[in-house]
Amino acid sequence: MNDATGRTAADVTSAPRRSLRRSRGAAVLVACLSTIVVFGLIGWAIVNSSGWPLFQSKFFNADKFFETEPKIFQGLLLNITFFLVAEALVLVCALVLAGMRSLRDPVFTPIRLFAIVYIDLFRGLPSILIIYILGFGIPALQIPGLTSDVYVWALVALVLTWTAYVAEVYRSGIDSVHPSQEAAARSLGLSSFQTFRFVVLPQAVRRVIPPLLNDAIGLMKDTALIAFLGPVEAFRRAQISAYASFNFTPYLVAALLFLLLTVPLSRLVDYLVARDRKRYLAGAR
Amino acid sequence: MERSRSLLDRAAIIPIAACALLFGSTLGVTAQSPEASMDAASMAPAASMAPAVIGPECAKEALVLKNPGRLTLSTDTPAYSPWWAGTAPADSEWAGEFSGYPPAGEGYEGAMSAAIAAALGFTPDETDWIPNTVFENAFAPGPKAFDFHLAQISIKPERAEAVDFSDPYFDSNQAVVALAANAVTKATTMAELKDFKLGAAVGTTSLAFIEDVIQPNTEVSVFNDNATLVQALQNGQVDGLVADLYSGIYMKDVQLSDAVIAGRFDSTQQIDQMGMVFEKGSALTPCVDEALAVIKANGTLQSIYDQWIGGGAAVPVYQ
Repeated sequence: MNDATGRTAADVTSAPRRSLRRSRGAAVLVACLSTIVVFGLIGWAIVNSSGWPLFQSKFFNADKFFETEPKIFQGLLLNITFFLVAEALVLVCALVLAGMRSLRDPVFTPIRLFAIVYIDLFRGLPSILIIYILGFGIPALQIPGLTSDVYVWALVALVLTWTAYVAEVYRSGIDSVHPSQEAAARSLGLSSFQTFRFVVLPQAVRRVIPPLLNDAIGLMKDTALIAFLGPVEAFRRAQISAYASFNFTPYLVAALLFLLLTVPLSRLVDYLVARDRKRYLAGAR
Repeated sequence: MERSRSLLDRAAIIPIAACALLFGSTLGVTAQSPEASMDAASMAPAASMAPAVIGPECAKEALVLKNPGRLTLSTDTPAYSPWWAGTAPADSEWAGEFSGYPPAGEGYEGAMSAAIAAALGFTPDETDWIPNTVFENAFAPGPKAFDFHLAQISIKPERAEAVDFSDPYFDSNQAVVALAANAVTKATTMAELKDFKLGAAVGTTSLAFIEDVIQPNTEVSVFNDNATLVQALQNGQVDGLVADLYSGIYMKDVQLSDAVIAGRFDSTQQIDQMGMVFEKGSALTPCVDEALAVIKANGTLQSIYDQWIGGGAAVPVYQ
């Protein structure tokens, strides 16, 4: 079918699409060029600054990089092990704590109070202080039957600290679920606990996955604190190498290895969240 | 627009990859680590041909000092015995239960530095002291706030690339400190030590000794400073700690309860020579070396040794 100007239906629909494709391609090209130009200029300015050779030999030294990398990677395995165990414990304990915090019945007031005090205390104290007190202080008391193993106490200290942060994240998720959800569930005959478990909690947890990932990465970085108690993890190994040679490149190695862990984790979580949203929003957005 | 945005996101990988390549090439191409210029004079102890007298180029007025007319010295805080002694006044930065008072000129390093200052023509009133809290700061590269620093710092080649050292003023061995009840006290050879959990402070030659020479089967425990190291030993979280013999004696006597020196290492396995630390290229180093030669030659250093170190080391040697 031709219209007044002789264009077919196919012409009318394909013409704007072609120019749209062209403008999209142009946009991509412009983006690439401008990024290369800007970062290229910044890079050129840095590399040509007067202190660059000294800075490069002290912080970006390639020989030192490859020399220290194997041992630092071994130390990183300790960080990863600690992180996996601690994160699993934190996710569970924090949920329990958030649940305790969210109890509304007056008879549960002591439990709520305990949760509030716990969260305030462990959020307010610096992690390093808690590690020292638990790692050195409690073994010093020589209480019979209580282990003085530094790994146990380091794990306990990290879990205690991060449970407080993550419990608040869970609580914000729980509070963000609209009250109508609970009202509807109760009117269907679900008990208080069933409402929480089957209606509120699934929605709450899905909403707070990005902040949970935030705290997971924070815990990952905090595992470096176990070095204060003796274990040689990635950053301590980097420190030993750095002090032995007065070169800071080992710290760069440790930092890059950490990024290699956290960045793919972030992308994976982004993907999982996007997939989940697509499922329950069903094309609404 | 959704599709063009995701296309942009994906296409943005190109410039990011380009930047990564740029970064990688700066690592590779400009990877010329500066040649370490080993300053032979600051490494080897001076031959004993040095005259035991201060030459005219080291006269007090001719010295190049951070604060002209005053000698600026430094040591670590807390200033542990037997290297430093004396009691600091309550408001002093040196005050503390375990710390000596450097301006008092007591203790092995305290008395020696006072003797060197006197040989160069400085009275205690003309000497300033800077407390240092991080052990590695002393021998890290860069300009210093002090004329020289002494805190049981061992002369090592990597350190000598960053700073200048004086001639050695003390030879020390490493030793193992342990609680009397611990099984490590039964070990008599280096091989037997491998089965125990040992600890040391970061940045020390003790740590390097454990890792390079003893090479235990369990990972060594590393601590930020001697205070936490001693606490870990007291708690039983390490079987033994390695430190230089005389610091170990102090830890055993004062800081620990029920501790012993389990054994020490002899000079074939390891010997640490302690030296004073100067800024790289300092003009003061030869003059202090001359002053040190003077107090060695006239017996002052030996009497300081007898007074503050004394016998001390009737300790079994690891085979």
